[in-house]
Amino acid sequence: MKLDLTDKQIIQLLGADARMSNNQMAKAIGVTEGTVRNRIQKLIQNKIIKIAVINNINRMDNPAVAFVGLDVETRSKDSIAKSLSKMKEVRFVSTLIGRHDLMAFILAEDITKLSRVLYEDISSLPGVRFFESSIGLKYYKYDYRWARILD
Amino acid sequence: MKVSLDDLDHKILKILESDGRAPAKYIAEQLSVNEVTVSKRLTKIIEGGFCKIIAIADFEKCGFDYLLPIGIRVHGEKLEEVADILSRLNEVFSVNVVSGIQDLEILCATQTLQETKIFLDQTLPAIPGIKSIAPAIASNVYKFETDWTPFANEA
Repeated sequence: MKLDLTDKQIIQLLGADARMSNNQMAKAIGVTEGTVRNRIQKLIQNKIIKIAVINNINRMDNPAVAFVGLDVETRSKDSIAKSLSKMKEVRFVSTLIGRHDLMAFILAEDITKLSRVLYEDISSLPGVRFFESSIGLKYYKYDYRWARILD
Repeated sequence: MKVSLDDLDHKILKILESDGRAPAKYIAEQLSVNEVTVSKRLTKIIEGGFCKIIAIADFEKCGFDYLLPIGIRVHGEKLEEVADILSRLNEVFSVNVVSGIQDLEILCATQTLQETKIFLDQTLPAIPGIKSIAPAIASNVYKFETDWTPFANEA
C-alpha cells in the first residue's frame, strides 16, 4: 500500500495522541471526517500502524535491560529465534547480517531475573555457541512511535 | 502523595489495549461508571506519565527497508557527547549507553541501500569520539514488543 500525504499526516497525529477524535484530525489536516475514518481503518487493517497502550518503563522498580548478540549453529538459527521470541523478558529478536547471527533485547523486572534469562534460559538453548551481552545503563533516545507490527 | 494507578485505571487500560480509540462513553458503559470519571482517569494516566496511547508505525511498511542494530565503542570522555549527537540524527531511533563490549547500542532505520551506505561509511565515522562501529542489518525480525518502553522520545 502506497502512503500519501494524508496518510502520513494521520500517522503523525496518531503518533502523538491516538485519542484524538476523527473530527479534530479532519480539521487539523483539512479533509473530511469520513476520509480520516477510512484512512485509519485501512492503515490498521494493512498493519501499517497499530494503536497501542505503552507503559512507561520508569514505573518498574528496578528494570534491567540487556542487548544480547548470539552466535549459533546455522541450522538452529530459526529454532533459536523462535525460542527466544517465546521468552517473556525478550522484547526484540532478529536474525542479523553482520556482527552476530542473532540479536535479542531483554527487559527484565530486575537484575536477578535478567541473569536467570541470560545464564539459564538462553544458555541452555541447543545450538547457541556463544553470546555476548551488554547491560543497558541509560536511554538517551527511544522513539516508541516506531516498531515492526508482526502479529 | 505519590499518584499511582488503581483498579479502575487498570480496567480502563485493559479496554484500551484491545481498542485504543474506544470512546470514553463506550468505556464508561462497559465499566458502569460515568463518562466524566473515565475522562478524568485518562487525563491522570496520560498526563501523569504512566502510559501513552499512540499509534505505532511499522518501519518496513513505511519504507524503512533497513533496520540497523549497531554497537558503538567510544573514547571514554566523549561518551555523552557522542550519545547526544547520535540522538539528534534522523536515522537513529534509539540510543542506549551500555556496559559491556560496546559503549552504545543504537537502532537505526534507513530507506535505501544508498542511504545505508552513506550512514555507515560517512555519517557515523564523521562523529568525533567514535572509536569503532559494529554494524548489522536486522534481516528477519521475529519479535518487536512495544508495551513497556522508556519515554525518552522527545530527548
